[in-house]
Amino acid sequence: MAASYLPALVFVIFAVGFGALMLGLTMVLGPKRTSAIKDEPFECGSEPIGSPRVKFSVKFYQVAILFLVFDIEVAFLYPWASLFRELSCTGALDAAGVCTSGASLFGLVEMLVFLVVLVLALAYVWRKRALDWA
Amino acid sequence: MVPITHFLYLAFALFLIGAAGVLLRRNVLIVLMSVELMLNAANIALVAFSRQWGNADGQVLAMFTIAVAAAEAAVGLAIVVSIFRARTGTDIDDLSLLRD
Amino acid sequence: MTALLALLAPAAAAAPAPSSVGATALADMGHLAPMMIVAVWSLLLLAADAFAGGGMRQFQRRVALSGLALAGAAALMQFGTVEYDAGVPVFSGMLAVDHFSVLLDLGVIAVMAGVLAFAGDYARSHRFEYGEQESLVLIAGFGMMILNHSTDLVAVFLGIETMSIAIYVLVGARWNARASAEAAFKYFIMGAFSSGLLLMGIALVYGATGTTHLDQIAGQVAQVFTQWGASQPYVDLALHPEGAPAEAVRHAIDKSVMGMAPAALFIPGLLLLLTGLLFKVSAVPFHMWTPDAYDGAPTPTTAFMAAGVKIGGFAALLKVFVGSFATQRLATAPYGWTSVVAVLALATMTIGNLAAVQQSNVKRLLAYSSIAHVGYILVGVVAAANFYGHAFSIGTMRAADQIEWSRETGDFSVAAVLFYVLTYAIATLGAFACVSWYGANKTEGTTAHEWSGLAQRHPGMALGLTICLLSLMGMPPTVGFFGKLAIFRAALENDNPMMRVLVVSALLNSVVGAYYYLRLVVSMYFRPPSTTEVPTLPGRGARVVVGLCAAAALLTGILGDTAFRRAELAAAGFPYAAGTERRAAWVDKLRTRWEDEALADEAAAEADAKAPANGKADAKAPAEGKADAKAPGEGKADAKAPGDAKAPGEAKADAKAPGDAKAPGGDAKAPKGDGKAEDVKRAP
Repeated sequence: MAASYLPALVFVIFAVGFGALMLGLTMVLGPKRTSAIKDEPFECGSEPIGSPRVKFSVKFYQVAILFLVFDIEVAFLYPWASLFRELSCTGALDAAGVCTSGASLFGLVEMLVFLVVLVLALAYVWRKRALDWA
Repeated sequence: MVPITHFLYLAFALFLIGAAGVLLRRNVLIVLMSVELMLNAANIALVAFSRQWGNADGQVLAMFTIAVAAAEAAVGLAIVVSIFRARTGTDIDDLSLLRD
Repeated sequence: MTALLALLAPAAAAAPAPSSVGATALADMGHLAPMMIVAVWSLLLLAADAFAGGGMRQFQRRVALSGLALAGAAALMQFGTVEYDAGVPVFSGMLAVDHFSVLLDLGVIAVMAGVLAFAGDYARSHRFEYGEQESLVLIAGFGMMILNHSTDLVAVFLGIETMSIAIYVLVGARWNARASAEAAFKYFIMGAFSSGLLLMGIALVYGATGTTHLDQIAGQVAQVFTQWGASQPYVDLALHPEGAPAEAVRHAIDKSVMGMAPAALFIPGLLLLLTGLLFKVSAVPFHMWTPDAYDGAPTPTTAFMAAGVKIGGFAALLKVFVGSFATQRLATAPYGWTSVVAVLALATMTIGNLAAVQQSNVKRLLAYSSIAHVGYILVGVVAAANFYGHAFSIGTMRAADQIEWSRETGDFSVAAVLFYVLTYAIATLGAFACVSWYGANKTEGTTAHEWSGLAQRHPGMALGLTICLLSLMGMPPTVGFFGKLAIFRAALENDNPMMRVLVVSALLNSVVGAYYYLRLVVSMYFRPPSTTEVPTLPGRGARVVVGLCAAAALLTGILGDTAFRRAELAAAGFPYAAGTERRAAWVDKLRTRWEDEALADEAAAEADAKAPANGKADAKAPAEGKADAKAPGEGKADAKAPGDAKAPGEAKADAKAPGDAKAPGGDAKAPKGDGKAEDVKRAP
């Protein structure tokens, strides 16, 4: 019962270990040149001291929102890719997973339709100058 | 094997946290995150049930939910940005223009 | 690149051989032609806006409306044909095309056309014109159409989200008014919260039944409760283990957990689903967002929400709850969901009406009145579920004819709900169109005193609005009366005290409703005009829509019976799965009944003709006396659909409509033998 959580434990150990390793390596190997700016908590980024309610440019949100939408669409490519063999076969696959009947364009066309809609959305975003940073 | 009940406990806990967040928190960004939490709690339940029943229906819906949640979050963020562009805070109680 | 081509070559070579999957997908899209047209048009408009920019803007309405005319024509060609009698499941059972969905599609298309006829004018006049409006309306309408067709909880969820997300944007689109963004945010938070509840409900129902397909869920529900019942002895043992061997007790605990688990998942799931859907149709106690969202939104969007979202929402509610969750134990046993919904229906109409009385803002008044109407419609939903619950009870010793009667009355109740939703949508669209029209250049005439004396300045619009309000009120010559009558009749057929209480309170509520509708009418006709003259919307879109809605409300009211037949046809055999023999048999039975009635009428007419023997009776006598009487009904369905589309001068749509209208009528009359032949073909 508890053993079934073993993969999760391995995952956690690996994650923590990897982080620690990377930090440790930079500590050991990285060159150290200190200056006033370098010693700030965030070398490049917002001021560590001051009002927390700094206004960010709306552009940040805009890019974040666009990223959010387009990033997720990839989720549909994975199941499609894993089923592409079945989708491209007119009949059922045989036991070895080989398509014995004719090939079909169905899987390809299906995804092309999806991608065309997606590209249309991208074109829309681009034409609306939502991607310009100015 | 982890029994399905454990997944369900996790899902219900997340769902309740999300629902409580929507109903109780006053910061709109946290409210948005709470909504996402609710949807993802349902996703966990869906995937767990999908494995239990051995069919893919639940996973299919979970996949769609991920996409829908992203679209919803995008629209929600856009509304939040447009509403609070001229203000300093993101407190939900500032929205009092419309009432009886 | 060449490698890619080489990969494609064999596939391309094999292409001429029709692939079964691809062919099915294409055929399915053909069945869903109206929906596909709407989807393609929404993308076209989006692309057109991005690439042609401002130059395209003035054509966008025309393009959108011609697309809707096309979609409406396609839907009209489908409606009433024998091909869709049994319903055609498409996209591996996700959706189905039947008379139910096609009729509601026509409603959605009509509402979209009506809204788009003046939404552009409104945005231009109030200085927030944007090119995505038409596209967003079509996308939201596409979501509603998914709901109309859905036969799977996945489709229900996707339809609701497609509809809602587009509408959040439409609500917040008025960037120069802060109320708009605030309304959008409130609507968004409530909508997203209810989506979360809905999804969790779907997850739990799926967990209990192992499927998301509505018809399969309906089949599994009985099993869920049988399992619960079967585990009862084990539960008793587990609760009172005195004297039993430890091994047996452990076994009993396992058995009772296993037996009760599905029901323990299903019932909360059902309640969450119910909550999610009631949020969408804004029933009390989930109505708080409605007045704010309706008030803050641009008025054309409000019209769209009040008319369109209700159609989609009730389609989903009917499909899920009446179609799938209406077994006896679920629906009608003392703790069935219908008793909860009955109480909510009572609360919805009462609270909606009482709040509407206090409103001085016309937009908010109509918002609360729309809540009240949801209450009336829910009465019909409860009635339908009650009847089907009796008809589908398993193991009860009911006479076969009683079950038959229950089903017939259940179909009648569903027809009443459909009829009410559609006619309410028409009337409310007209009313909101009038509110949109009253105001221009960033000033809106929404306070009640600004409406006083409207009849002196704009008699035509005052008349149109009055007819729409009378229809909402339920005044006899208008269609609203028939809608209420049908709902009340459906409820009263159900011989139980709860329904009688509901009907009585609905009647009382109608009186309250009459008060505030008439108050507005009286102030328009019998008060002096307000001193400040409110500018009105340029362009004739809104005026045409008000006129058409008023005409439709009157015409369908006068032809109440023939209009109601469309709804009856759509509701026939409603809870049976699409594409099954039983479904076809029920539609066939309805057609047979109509034919018999037509024959009887004909005989009566002939007898009449013999007695006075003058030309007047002759007009009635021709063999198609009934068919002719039907044609106007068809024409009316038409006036609702592309009739609206014709508003901004689409003469083509107009010319097309009557021709198309004949087709379904003719098919509906097609000899019964045809339907039989279909049956035989379907049998193997």
